[in-house]
Amino acid sequence: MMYNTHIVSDILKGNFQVKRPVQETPEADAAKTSFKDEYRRKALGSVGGSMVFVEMDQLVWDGETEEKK
Amino acid sequence: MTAESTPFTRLVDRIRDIGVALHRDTLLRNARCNAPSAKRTVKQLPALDAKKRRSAIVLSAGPSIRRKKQIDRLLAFGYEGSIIAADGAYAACLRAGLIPDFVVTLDPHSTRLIRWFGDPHFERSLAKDDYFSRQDLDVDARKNAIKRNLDDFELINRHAPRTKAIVASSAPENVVARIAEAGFETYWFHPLVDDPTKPGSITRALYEIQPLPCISTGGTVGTAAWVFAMQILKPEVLAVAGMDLGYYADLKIEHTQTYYELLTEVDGDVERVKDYFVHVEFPLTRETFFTDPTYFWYRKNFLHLAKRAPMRTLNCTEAGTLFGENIDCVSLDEFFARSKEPALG
Repeated sequence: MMYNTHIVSDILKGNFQVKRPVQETPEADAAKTSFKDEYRRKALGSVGGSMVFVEMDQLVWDGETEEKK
Repeated sequence: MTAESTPFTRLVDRIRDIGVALHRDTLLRNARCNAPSAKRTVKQLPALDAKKRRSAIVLSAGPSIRRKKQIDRLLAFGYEGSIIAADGAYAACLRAGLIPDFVVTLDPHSTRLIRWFGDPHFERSLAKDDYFSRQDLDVDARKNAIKRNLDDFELINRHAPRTKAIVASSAPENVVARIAEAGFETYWFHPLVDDPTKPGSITRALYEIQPLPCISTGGTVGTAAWVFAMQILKPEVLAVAGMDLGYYADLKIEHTQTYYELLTEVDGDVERVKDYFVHVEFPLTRETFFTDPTYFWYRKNFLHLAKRAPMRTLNCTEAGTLFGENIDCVSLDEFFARSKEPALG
């Protein structure tokens, strides 16, 4: 099962007030962004098909043999 | 299906680049790793007898293969032409008692593909990935996946020597090892992934690792199997079945293969994600099917290749989204009739 990262972050914050406000460090922010990017990259990977395909006219190519014909 | 810019068309247009970024390093790594095993190429296959040369059918793993009972119908007819199974359809053929002449494997994924040949570490793979629980073909297998895997493993070991494995150099190490262990005779090719005459071509780099024939894949194993049949086996009549490239209208979109990934694209918005599914009427049956960006991309690629193909293709899927230039949508029975007709000339 996969979850939306924004929703998960909101749930993890809880519903209570802390005495001292928590300041997120730039490192923590960067880590969070990096996690989201990585998650999105992996998700896109699954959409990207089983194999690379670039439209071209040939259906087969056999290297130099083919080019010499 | 219009040409206007929508979230759907924009994502389809990005798939090519996503694929290049995703697969480039893996393709080169796997080709290097597989080079010592790739002793025979697809051009070294033994000649086919007259009936196998007369006609061929490519079986893909779309949901129609089960719903239309395509495998049972091939058996009942006593079809004697060449049978080429995509890896995802191979075990289903064996379970029904049909032994394909060829099985084609292409996808470089390191944990998913082994399943098609019986995964010796199935429980570990299943725990990591819910991909197969979203495969429509395998709805029955969801309930008893572990036993099914074990049965397939034994079935494949028993029948592998009767089928030739057509293996892409992109195949992962575990699939190559499993194919060898099961006893398949293997014949190799590179996926033709881009223009080898252009600078920085991945295809050219693959060929330089090892000079294997390169076959266009359309991005998926079923299309690669079809190009292999057309260009290497060269039958007089060629058909495809199980090539749905889409889903039956009664399937919930939550059960499609990339639903959760598409949901990420729209920040979890279950309404906006519906924009990524388009409906298509299949001309032979007038039934409606729907497709997602990935299957639409496969369809687009297939049509691109079909237009350039040296022969017409009979689509006997009897369902799905695949129709267009150089493709005749006919019933499987019509294909049987044509495969029996005497050869021209």
